[in-house]
Amino acid sequence: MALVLGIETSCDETAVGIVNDRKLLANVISSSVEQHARFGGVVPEVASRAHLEAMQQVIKQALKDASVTLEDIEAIAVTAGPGLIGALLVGVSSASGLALALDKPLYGINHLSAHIAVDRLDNDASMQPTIALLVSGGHSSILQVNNLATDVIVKGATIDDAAGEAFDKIARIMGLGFPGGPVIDKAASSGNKDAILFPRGLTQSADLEEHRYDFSFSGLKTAVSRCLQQTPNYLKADVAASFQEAVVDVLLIKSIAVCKDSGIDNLVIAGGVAANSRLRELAKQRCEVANIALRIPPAGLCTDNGAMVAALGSLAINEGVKPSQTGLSADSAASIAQVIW
Amino acid sequence: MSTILAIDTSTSRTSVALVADGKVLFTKFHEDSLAHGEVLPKLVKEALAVNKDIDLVAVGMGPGPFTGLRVGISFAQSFALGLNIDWVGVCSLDAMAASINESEFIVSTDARRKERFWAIYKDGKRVSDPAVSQATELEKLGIPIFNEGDYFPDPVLLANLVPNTKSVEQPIYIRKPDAYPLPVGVKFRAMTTLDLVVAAGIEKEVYGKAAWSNAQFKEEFAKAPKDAYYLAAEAEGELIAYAGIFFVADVADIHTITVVEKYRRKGVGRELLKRLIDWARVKKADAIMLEMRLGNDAARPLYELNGFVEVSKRENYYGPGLTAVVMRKELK
Amino acid sequence: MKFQVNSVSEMHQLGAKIGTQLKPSDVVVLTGDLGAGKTVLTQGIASAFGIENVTSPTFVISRVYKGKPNFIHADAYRLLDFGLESFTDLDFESYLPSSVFVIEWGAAFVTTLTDQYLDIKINQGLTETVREVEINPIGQRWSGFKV
Repeated sequence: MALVLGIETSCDETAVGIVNDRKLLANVISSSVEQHARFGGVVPEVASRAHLEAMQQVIKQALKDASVTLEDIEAIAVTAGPGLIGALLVGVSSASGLALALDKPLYGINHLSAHIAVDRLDNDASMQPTIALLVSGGHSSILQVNNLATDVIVKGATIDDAAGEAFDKIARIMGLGFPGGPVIDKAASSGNKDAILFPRGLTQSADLEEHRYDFSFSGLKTAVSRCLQQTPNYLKADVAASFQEAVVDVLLIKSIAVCKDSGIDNLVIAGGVAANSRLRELAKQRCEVANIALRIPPAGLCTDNGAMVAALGSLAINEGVKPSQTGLSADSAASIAQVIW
Repeated sequence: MSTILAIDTSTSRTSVALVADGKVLFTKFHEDSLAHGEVLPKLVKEALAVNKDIDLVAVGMGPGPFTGLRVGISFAQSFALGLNIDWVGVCSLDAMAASINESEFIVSTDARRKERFWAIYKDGKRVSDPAVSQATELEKLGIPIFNEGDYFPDPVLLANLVPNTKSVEQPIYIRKPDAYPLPVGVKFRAMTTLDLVVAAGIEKEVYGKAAWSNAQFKEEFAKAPKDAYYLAAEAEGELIAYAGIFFVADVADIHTITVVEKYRRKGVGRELLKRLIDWARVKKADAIMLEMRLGNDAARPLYELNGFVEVSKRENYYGPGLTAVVMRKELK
Repeated sequence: MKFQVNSVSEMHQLGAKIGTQLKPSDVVVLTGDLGAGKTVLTQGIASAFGIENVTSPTFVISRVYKGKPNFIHADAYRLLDFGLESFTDLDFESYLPSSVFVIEWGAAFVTTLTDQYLDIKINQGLTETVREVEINPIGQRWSGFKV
């Protein structure tokens, strides 16, 4: 049993989560995105500054929600990378301060692995080798997870834009707002996904050799942009739905291919884009047909949060992984191969 | 008995001290402007090995580069939270000044690009708010300056300041001025009919085929000052830039912002745009629009920075093959 | 100086040629529409530093690849609606002496960091796959710069 407090500050959110082994006790998120939206683009505080301001409050709220005190906490976990360095440093420094004061172990966690680890919360499914599709604003990769705490291999990744980023950019040029994921999801719900056939990147036979499991969303982005320019009376719902379909289609084609080729018939879909309703719907359909056991965390846990960090910390403890040394280093460009350092 | 853990990360140094009722139990620093994050916990751990019964945390709140400041402050606050003790913020320059024995002096730290963070001290007290200025401007004040390099914020002194100073609750972020100073001698004023002739010449030079004719210019200019605003920038007695905006049916339309080649990338365009936007607000416009020639859009980042978004393109607007990009900024 | 670039791999090669000439404190600014090839050019530049996995940093705003020098790939796209403060808050100044910067959409902000930089614009060429790359050296550091 491990009562773990997890801190996440890799990009926009200041988040703290508390778990007891695999039970979720608290999940508090302070979103600078909310601030941006609330002030309509005139933001009084900006990302790294906002993290420092929000951190103490978010920690205290999480303790309150979980009805525990800092003395009860057995370990601190913190996202040490990848992410925006100034933001990461606030989380890492806060975590280091807490850990030293409480004289408790500190685990520096990989943000990407944490997204997958959140799947372990509030259930007792045993850990098996699984393929993980990790899709967010900053990342799009397919991973083979032999052991989430110690052994993760990259099978495929984007060669240009992340899927979530494509949502943000398309939403911006369509004047739909930020973040793009939720607004496109909403607009698409009343649109025709087959209205326009947008390109599915890296699915031509020529691509299958060198980039079999890789993604490319840059071409899709340009295709949509061009379509908008050339069709003055475009229907937002149809463009949104067709764009969304192109993304979701290629994400699933490739990840299911990895499952088939590797013989691992478990698929986890994680990261902010995993909250997308069409991805969840189509994944369910296609995995059923392909006989693949599908797991997707609840939408609320797919976007950046502290619970996922605490979850991976808890797993690390159970797997006997050594905690980080004092002087944990934040790494802006950490690769998935570094799970805990 | 009051044992204070003092931390400062406002300069290239990470420094930590442990002071118990004025007695120094531990003091150490490490020099590396990008390593505060890794170094601070290590130094604090060493301090804890000497004595871990800490009653209060004191932390330097700047001014200083953000990266280091955030490490120190977030660590200090969380460390204090973990021990369930208070934390107190101190202006980092004060911790530097406390070791200097002069009746009036300035303490300054590096703010990069030949600028300094600084404050004035008189008879042992700080008498000015921390500020940032060019080093050369600081020298003109005629007060002895003590720079970072010979002196540093000393965490021992930081701890000693605690009983007598009010806690600084927020990090001392001093923004460098948004617009780096305009070149010396650039003056802004309303445009006159005399300027029109010169402006017409600049038009042809800058825009070639897409230039306004003298007649078009005169026509637009006549709308000022009621429904239009034209301003000029002058340097060394010559017209070096001009800008115009007019107001029609709740929307303001920027007709031009033009800067001669020699004076570009010096903030002149930015200042002109700022004044045009202010005029539009005064006129209570709902929005501001502008057209820009695609391909001649060196100013595009300036507009995007100021909240303009592309709303459409107009093919052949300026002539065959010359597309206009239409941008809009909402004011309400 | 202007270059016509006819393919993704040519853009990458151009980037590599630029990359081999970069030193600590160098700042490259890239401007170009969505899909122009800013990230491809950056991949080429980064390859000169042995970095092979560069992808678009739009969402995270900046990525620091540690090394001697550090390679910092930033994208100011998300900051365009907010003020200069959103950029200076990143504190790139602290990293300047030990790093090389490539900043997409950085033209509006770069003067808060340095007044010497390589200003690169990527424009659509005559056909869909062709680009026109314009390189403007700005400041003493870049005088005599050639590719």
